[in-house]
Amino acid sequence: MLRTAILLPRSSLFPSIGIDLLNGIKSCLKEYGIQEEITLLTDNIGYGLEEGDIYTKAERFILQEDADLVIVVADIRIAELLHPLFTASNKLLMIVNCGANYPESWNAAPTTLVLSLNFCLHARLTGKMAALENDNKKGAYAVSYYDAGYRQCYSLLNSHHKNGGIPAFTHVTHLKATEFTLAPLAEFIEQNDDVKTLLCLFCGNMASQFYREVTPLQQQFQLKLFGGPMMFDETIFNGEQVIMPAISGHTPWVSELDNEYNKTFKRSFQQLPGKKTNLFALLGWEAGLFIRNILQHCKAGTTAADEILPLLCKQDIESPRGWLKTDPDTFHVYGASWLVSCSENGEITIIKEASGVEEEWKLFTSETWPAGESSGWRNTYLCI
Amino acid sequence: MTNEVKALILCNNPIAVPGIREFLFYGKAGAIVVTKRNKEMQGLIRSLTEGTGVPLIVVTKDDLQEKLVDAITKYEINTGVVMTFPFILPEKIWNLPARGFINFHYGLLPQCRGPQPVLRHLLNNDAEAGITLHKVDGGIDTGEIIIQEKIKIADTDTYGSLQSKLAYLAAKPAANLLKILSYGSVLPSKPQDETKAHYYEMPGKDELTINWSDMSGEKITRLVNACNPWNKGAGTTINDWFIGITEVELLGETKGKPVGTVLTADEIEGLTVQTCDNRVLKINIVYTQEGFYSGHKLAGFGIKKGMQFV
Repeated sequence: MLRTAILLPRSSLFPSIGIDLLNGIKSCLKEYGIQEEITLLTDNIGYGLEEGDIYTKAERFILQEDADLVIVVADIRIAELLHPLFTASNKLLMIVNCGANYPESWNAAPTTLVLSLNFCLHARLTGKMAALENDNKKGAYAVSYYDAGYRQCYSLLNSHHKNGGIPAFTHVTHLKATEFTLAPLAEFIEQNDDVKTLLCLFCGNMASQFYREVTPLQQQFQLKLFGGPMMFDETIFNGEQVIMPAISGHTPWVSELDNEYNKTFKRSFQQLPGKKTNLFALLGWEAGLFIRNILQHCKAGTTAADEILPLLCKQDIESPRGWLKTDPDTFHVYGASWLVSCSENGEITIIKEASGVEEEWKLFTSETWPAGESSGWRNTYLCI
Repeated sequence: MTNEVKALILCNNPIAVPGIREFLFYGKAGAIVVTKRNKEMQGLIRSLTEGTGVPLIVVTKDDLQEKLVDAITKYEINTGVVMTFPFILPEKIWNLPARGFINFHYGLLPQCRGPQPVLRHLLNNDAEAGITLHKVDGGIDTGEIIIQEKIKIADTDTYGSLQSKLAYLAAKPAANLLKILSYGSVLPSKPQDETKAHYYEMPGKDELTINWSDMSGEKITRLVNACNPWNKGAGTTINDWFIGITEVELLGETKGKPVGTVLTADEIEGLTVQTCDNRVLKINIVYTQEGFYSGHKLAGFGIKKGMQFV
């Protein structure tokens, strides 16, 4: 038996985040016939803002509930606080998130695995593409008040800049939906008709609001739009007719991916009443794939966390999003990236699998966060 | 935060300042202890604690025990913290606060124990340096590890720059330590791997002197950087004159001359020397009794092309 504890968050933007993640794990364990060998313990950590709450719950799972593995669905910053507890007890910690933030230091902690959707990496690939694809290097940036506070925003814009792009204008939309406007951006575009590239970063309701307002602007000025991964999240399009611009970018997964592992994931997950796959269910499913591998090592006699992690690095995983690898230098998981586009009718087209992802990952993880003070959100996509 | 933390902080070097700031920021510093002979540190702590109400306690080796016992009682200290301190704590002291003493060692443990870990990481040509927070036990730097943070050592790092990086690196583990002490029911820690342990004494003069016949250009560069600025440079002799080399850079390759031979000593090409691995080492800054000079200015002291460093 592998005692696996999960600390789940709630989110006002994605209300089903916790249940989707948990269902993703459970479906995966069931699909591979190991649900009887895993004892799941769960607790909730609210919006993931209370470090003390997360710490004491993780400590309880380790010291009182004798968990072998604790999965914490939270931003990477919490990992540093939890490392000593898990290193001392030699128990596995799995940090699970979208990867929209990244650490100041990429140093591996001996018992911590970081499983994310690598949003920063995909945003970086999109920023690079936007710079290299266009002869005109000038680009305008449009981001939401919230998305501007995640490091993927830095990743997207800095990558554009570093690859020759020239920042021409930045527009950050208001935090309140009622005061959302693209008027300053429109005014700039009108006055600067040589700027045809627009890099954008929005999620959830703000993405659909942005799409509505940017579409006429794109049509009038022939703008070429490049978006962060969450802009291709299909839940944006669920339930309502969204007015769409044409937009492209890199993302880890869309449900249309044609591979047998994605088909299995969708079939298995959608057996749950009323459930459709989404990015959070995918994260849960992938956590399940790692649980499966960890269980194998435990059964083979390797139970110490600091011995299991190097073994996980030697096992590539076939995930619904394609290949997944665990970087032996950082113990962060990274995987395939897909260049997709969205047409005016809201249809997502998979253009191709991005090449050079491993090289880009190496570059990404060799860079350090710029020195000096900076601020940002501590709980990505939770309490918007 | 839930558990009360009130720390007695012992320090003797400005490297401790960013860590101390975290204790002050979270309101967890009960009192700060500095040695009587370290006036610079006393001044720094006074300015850091101004308006906070955190007392400064000045000690000598002789009154250390008495003053620490008094402070622990008077200020209701439950945690001791050592961030560079020249005196070894008597057992009576390190067991006195309820949560014991925690040492901030500005080097990686267990492989780099001893009094000058920053210098030692550079002298050993290590790829990484770091900070280790560990429990204080009877030995020197031997207690169980609580937190360890690592950084890569850059080729250009001097003793001063690396020390500065480590000082700032300590801020985050200091904050995390406070959080763990506050939130946790236990202080998690892990025994050091004794098979990897190494204790280093203070380096002697020989270790800080360039051995031209044996040291590659890269090794000389690392030694020079390790001695900058605290030792004013790495020692060497030319023309029976002992000087310090404070800053160098490696240029191209050369061969045919004995090691340590001065290749150029003029304003245009600077002061360059051949190393044992046939590299051209440009000496940018030297220290002499007369002062710091650009390398080529040694020509004014009679140093010429063809002379040899030994």
